[in-house]
Amino acid sequence: MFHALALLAAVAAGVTSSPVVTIRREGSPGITELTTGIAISSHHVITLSAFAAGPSVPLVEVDGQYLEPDTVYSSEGLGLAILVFDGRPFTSYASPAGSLPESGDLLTLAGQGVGGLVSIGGRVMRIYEDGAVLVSAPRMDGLMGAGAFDSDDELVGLVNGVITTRLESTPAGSAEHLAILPSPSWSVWADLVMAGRWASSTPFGVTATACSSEDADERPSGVLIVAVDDGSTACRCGLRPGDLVVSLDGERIYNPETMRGLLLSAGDSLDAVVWFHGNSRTIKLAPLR
Amino acid sequence: MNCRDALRLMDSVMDGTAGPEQEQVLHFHLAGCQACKRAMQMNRDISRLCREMPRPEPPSDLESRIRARLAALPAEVHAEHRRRNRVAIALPFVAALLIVLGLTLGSRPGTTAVDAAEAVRKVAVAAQGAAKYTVTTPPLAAYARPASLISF
Repeated sequence: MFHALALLAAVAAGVTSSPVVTIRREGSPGITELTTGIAISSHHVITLSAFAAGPSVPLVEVDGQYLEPDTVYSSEGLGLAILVFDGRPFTSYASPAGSLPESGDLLTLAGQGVGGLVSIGGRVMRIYEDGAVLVSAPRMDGLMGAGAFDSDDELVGLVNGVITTRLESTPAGSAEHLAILPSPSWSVWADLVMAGRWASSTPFGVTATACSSEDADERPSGVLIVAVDDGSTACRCGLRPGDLVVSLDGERIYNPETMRGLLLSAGDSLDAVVWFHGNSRTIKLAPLR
Repeated sequence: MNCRDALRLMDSVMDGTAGPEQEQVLHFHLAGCQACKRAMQMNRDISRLCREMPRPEPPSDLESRIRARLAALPAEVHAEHRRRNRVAIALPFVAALLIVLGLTLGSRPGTTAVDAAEAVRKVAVAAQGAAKYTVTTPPLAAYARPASLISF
């Protein structure tokens, strides 16, 4: 684990004793791309999946050497990738936060700039129903994919984009805020990947997608079931195309990875609240083995 | 319309400069794209949050303090500012003159398409050389949460 101010001290000193690591990829001929990874255990690094894809292998810097990951797990739906290193090379790592930050909280954003690690403060402006977090912070090099840390050094999430809005009320005429994919949205998936349990299971029998709501009174956010395989576990449990799974055993879910992860980790059937055209019902979903 | 077009069109719609047809096209896209719908919602929220923030008032003596500091600047600083202004004004005219000269010389009867292609090739080679050993970081991309179908 790393401690308070260690991140800022590491950034200032230019050393690697922080959970923020440098990922190096060879892009177009002659161009080396440096991106951000966050060590979340002694041998796992999480990063944006775009940084782990492509023709060249992403290499992670550890003590001045670049290591090739032994395995790379990518989640297209979450837009994240976890790089696995069998040698446990990371002495400093951050635990993903179990809960969302609150509006007004100060966060430390740390990422890989061209000249080294960069770190900057940001303030949470809003938390959306599906967990997306909007943060006010100055725009600077190295923030795409940067880690967002709270005052307890927990990893709150990863910066996954910028929202630019033209405004008449500011002298510059525009405002930019960073969007953060918070840890609770991906921690179930990450925990199972780290435990080596993500890949092995029998199919549940659904095709699903994340479904955000603009108006929670009209329709909640959740996981939209697009298709159900005939005779599958999902079909036998009573799931039908068009169902919106809102929660599992009281825990709100917003993406298919979390739904699959909770079904994989469950010891017994889970109570699912399912919304369909304005009506809610509760059904039992069998765990995945 | 793809998500990139939709993100571009959002600004125009928010500014009120988009036509009704463009607005309709955007809303048609938003109806089927959760990621862009969320981005539009974030855009609206940022506008609202910024409108709600109190406007900072400058100190009442700010103008007089600036004028006093300007008046206290040495005369040579003023002269330097004037010289820079003259150069700034002259630059566009010099650039225009160079363009005209280039066009005139470039259209000489001796200049062929082969020459032009060779010039382009040299520029490309030079650019490739400049790109050697370049280290970059990815820029902040526009927020677009992936909403892909997952089967499990």
